[in-house]
Amino acid sequence: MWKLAWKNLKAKPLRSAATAFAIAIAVAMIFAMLSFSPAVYDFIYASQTATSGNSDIVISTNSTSDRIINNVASPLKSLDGVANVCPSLTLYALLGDEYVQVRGFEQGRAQELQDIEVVAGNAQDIGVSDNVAISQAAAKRFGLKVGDRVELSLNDNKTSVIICAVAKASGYFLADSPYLFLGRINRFSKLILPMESPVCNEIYIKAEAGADIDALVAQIRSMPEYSAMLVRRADDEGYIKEQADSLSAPVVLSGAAVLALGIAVVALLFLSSESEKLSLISKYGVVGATKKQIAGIFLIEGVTLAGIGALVGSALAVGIFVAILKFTLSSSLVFGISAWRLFAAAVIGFAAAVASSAVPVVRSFKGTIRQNQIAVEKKSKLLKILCPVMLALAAVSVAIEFAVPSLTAVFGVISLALSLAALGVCISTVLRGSAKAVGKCASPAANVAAVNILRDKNFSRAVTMLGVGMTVSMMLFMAWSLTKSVFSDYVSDFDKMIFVTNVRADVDTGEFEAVEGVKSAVKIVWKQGELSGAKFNKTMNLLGSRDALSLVDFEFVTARDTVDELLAGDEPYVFLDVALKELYGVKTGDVLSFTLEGKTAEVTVGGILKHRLFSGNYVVLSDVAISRLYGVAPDTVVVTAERDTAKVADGLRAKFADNNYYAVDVLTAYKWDMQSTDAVFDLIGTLAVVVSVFIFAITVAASLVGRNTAEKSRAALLNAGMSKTSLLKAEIIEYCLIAATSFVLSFAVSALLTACLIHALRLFGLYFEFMYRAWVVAVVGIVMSALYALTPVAFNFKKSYNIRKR
Amino acid sequence: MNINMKKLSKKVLYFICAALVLILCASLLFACNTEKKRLERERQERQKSAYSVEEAFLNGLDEDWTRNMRSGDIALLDKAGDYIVVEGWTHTVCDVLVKSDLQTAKIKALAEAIRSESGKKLIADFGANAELILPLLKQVDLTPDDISFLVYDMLCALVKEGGSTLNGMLARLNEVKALAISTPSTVANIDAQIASINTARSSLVPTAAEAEAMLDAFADAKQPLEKLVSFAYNMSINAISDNMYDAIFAGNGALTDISQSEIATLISTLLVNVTELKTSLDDSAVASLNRAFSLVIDKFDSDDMPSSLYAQIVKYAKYAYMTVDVIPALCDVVNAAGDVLTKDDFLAQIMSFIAVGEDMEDGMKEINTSIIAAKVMLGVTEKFGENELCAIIEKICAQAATDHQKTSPVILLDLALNLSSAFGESGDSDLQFAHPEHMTVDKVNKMIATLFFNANFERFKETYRNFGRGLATLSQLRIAAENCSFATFDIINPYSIAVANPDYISAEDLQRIKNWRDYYVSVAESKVNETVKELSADIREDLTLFIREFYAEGSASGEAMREMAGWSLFTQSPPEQEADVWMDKMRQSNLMGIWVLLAILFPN
Repeated sequence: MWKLAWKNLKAKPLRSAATAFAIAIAVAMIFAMLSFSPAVYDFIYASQTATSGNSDIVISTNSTSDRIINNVASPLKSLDGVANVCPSLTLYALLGDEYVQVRGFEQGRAQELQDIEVVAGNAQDIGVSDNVAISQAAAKRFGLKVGDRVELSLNDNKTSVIICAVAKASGYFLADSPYLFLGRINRFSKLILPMESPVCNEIYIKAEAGADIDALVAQIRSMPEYSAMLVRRADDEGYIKEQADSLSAPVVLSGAAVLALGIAVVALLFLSSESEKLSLISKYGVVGATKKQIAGIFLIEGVTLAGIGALVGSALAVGIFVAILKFTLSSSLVFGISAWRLFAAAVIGFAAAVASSAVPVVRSFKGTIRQNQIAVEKKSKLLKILCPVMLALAAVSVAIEFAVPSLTAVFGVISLALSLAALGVCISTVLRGSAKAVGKCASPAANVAAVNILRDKNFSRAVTMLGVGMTVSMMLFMAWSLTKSVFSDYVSDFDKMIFVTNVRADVDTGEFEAVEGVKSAVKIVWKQGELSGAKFNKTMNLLGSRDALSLVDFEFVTARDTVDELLAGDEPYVFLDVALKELYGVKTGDVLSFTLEGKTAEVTVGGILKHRLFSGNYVVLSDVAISRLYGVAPDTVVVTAERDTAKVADGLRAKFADNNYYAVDVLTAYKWDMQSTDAVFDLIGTLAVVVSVFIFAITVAASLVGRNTAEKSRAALLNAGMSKTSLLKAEIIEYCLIAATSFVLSFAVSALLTACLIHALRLFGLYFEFMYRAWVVAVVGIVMSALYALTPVAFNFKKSYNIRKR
Repeated sequence: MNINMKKLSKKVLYFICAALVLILCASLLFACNTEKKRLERERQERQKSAYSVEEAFLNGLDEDWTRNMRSGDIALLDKAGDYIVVEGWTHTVCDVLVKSDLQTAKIKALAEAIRSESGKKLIADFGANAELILPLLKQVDLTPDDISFLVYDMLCALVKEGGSTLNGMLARLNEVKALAISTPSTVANIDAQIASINTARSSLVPTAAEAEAMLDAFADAKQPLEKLVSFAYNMSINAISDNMYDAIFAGNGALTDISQSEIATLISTLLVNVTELKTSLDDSAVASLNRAFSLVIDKFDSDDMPSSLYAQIVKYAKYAYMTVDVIPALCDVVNAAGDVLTKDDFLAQIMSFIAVGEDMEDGMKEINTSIIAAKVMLGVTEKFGENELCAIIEKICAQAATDHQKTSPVILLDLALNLSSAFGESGDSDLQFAHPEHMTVDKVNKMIATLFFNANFERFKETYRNFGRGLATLSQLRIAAENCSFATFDIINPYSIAVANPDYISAEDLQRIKNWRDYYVSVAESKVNETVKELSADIREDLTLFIREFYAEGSASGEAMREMAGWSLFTQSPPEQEADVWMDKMRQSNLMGIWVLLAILFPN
């Protein structure tokens, strides 16, 4: 049996290779989808903890505290549960006229919080004397290399430093926006003092193993030295998980479709050579092979191909996925590869392949030897029943999804699955209808093409694979477009705004308004806090000012007058986005908890607003209420420019040079903030491209494999006098019909699927208005269709035409 | 597969393996070569930077001077001899730069700084005032560690290579002299330098044993020396007076509108530097520093030192030698003062004091300064016990007795304390010392003379050097001598510097003036040391008595000090009678002299 199985595999080397390759690709795709969310989490976690590293607690200055902290004879070291205390000085300085971050540690302690991986220079020299390390990106931006000397300035103070190392984008340098210069505290202290001094403005604390971090935070807050400082946990795991989940949600949902597609493609691939296998089985039957022996031969074949595919796929999966992660997220971050996910992907691919390889065998046992020999195909009534049933189910699901708000999220997922399934089931029917229409043409090539399509099941399989594959690709690209748009598009609303930070709480906004080009200046608390209700607990961005409503063009679900009146009062009324109303049923008058800087207070929902700001994760609360409830004072002034934002920002910097304010336009500030999420967008986009390429490759491979079974009929056509050119035309028409049918149906269904996807995202706590970019979908569809239609030309089908079949 | 195919496959495999190995070896070679080339390139760049410094320095001194001039071109210069000597020392210093750990970028920055307009001005005056090296180094923004390492390296270079440098200069001078024989002024310049170099060779080049001893001493003192130099450079006078005030209070720094607690934090962090210095200067470190400094001074403290830069370093070594014994105690005092300075109520008063700003009258400023001084001193005395302070005085006086250069701190303190009691209750001019058994007018005169001598003897020698170069007049030389108070030490010079015609000083006059100067140099230090030895016991006893009286129960000085320390700072001009009360308390607390001392040292 082994010899026979091996002989069968060697008899069609191209088909065997293509099948194994397709299985491998499917395994890779499944693995990529399973691993996407954890990879995004790892990256976001590393980015969010880039500054704090392995520390557990951070003490830093704020707008009402001292600007420098006394780390001399620090009382922290004597606290129970404190393992290590690491002071740091972080400032924004100017290199030329561009802001950079400078961060200093005590000599020899630069690598206490994070390891530094250098590509040039010596890591041991970092923080010695005036040596600094910068990232590769910074080195490129400023044209710097190891040994170069640069001068940094802050107001009238200057200090010069020497580049001793260029580091990879890992550790501290994951938060490299603005560019980070890492060196020694004493050297950077010259930016605020005329001599070198170990002054600091942050203290990072590593707790002992098993210590109660929250209790330690509370204890430090109660110490008089730090009572006015900002004392918080170094990492907010809940927030990081929230952010990672939000970013990866659209892809996770699409990934389920990719997973199903991968399995379906493997199945269809094996089914494409069904007739040949049936014929072969009949021959074995004629020579006396038993069912067990026949099953054994094909099982060995199937297991061999599945095994090779799974192994190659596993290697490919890790290699390609890690390469994508390193290319998009960070080239130096070490991403964990989950063995169980790899195993699961391999097992799914393997199982699907083996099961699919058994289908022809099972079918052969139902028919006689003769039936198998002539590959009589009973017309399946299943398709005739399945198509309308799936359509009906999908329609019902969609109807419930849109009609019943409380079930919208759940039925969004169901509708997504059913719509895709319906497409997969019905697309072949549409192809057959198209073929019949094309068959009425006078052209012989068109007639031949139409007949082939109607007769050969492989075309049905091909259109199913291409159609569903194209749709899934469109979904992935829509997911990318959606994610990018939702998380960053609102920033363009702020293009006339400038953040001025490092301000004292008692700053006079009139001084800002006196600067030329300034339209308005609003003092605001710009922080993050946690909002909790009966059904949710979310990290929200706080817009803490009575004048916050003037910053952005909110739409008012609650009447504007009511909102203004309540916000102007002293009572703690919060104003939330309609997203929370839609997701969790929050309404005016509800009492929620809001936690800010460790203090929790009850707040009342005063009204509902609408804006894309922070994807709806914002809270508007008056600064007076914030001060009363939490003792937190404004720390930022948001300036609106009349015209040239960059010029106004320069003007602010010049006017307030003595005060050491950091004036930066919002787009740049967000660029700093969005550095890590931009990388995730790149990942999603790259993944969409790679998966689309994979889908396309498998589809073409399956088509080529299936095409082999029709070699006899092509030879017969040539023998009958059809020219090679005409035959080629016929094949081109076949492929064009498949491509066109796939494109039309995919494009038509894509809008519905996008709506289902958006509804399904509510399960992840994400609420968005319907958003559809037809051009994205069209481009994906046109590219895939065009390339598929060109397959006969690209693979030079004409060359393989032979009158005699070997 | 048939046998031939198998053989072919094997051959192909071997070929591939061989090719791989070859490629690997080639890559390795290439990498090593590349690395070697990179290191060579860096070395060349570094050397080029050092040459750049040399070039810039020479050109800054004289437009016609460039680096590495040929002998023929040197012979055409007016001051060919000066050029050779300066070039020789500059080359030695640049060599130190190349061999040091100083980053190449900083050497380049040094060259650029020297070439800049402000740098050129500094260099132009460098010959007359080598202290101008400090503002140049600050302009380049070298770190305190850079300075400390360079000082150490330069001292070692002086010992190891000073002789060969001088020999090289001499050879060059003779070579150029032969070429310049037809230009008398050039030859004269060369001859003067030859004489100077010969003298330097005989007196400044250490023997092998001396060199070994010095290098050993330097090695022992390396760490504390670097710490001391680093501290001094970092906390130089500029930083702690004008710049610091502006940085904190004048509103043009990052800590604008500084709060009380921020000032306390700032003072605490500044005191970290002081604590680090104290920690590095234990008894053995101080002893090793004393040994290293004394060897340097003994060997290199001479008019014959032909390098201005090295002469300046030796001068700094002498200052350090004067004070190194008291530094640990001073650090303790500063730390104790820091505890007072960081107290909330004290800072609150300081803030209100500063808030008055330029509206404060001079009289009010003086009173407030003395109140601050009283608070600080009281805080210091509360930190230190009576016996502790006496032990510190004992130790310092024991060191002072060995060398007049170490006496200045204790003499200043004793004079300051005696000044307060010397003027009596009504402030009249009758001098009544607190401890007449130890302090007399004669002794006070000698103490003052010692201070003047310590402060002005170097300047006297420098004035003579400048006189020799035509940069100082005879009158200036005479004044410089008078400032040394030789007469007080009964140093009667048999030579006279009177000349018949001050506008024309003959060769005979010059020789006589030289003899006059040489007499002082040969005799003065030993005479002063004798005097100091006699005085030290009395100074020690006097200071000890002052301390014991202060700590004694019911002591007038203690009570007066405490009363003054309890006063709040004045934000308005005090009435006249209060000013009189203040005057009395100042006298009783012995703060009068200290106040005068502070007013001289910190005029702002």
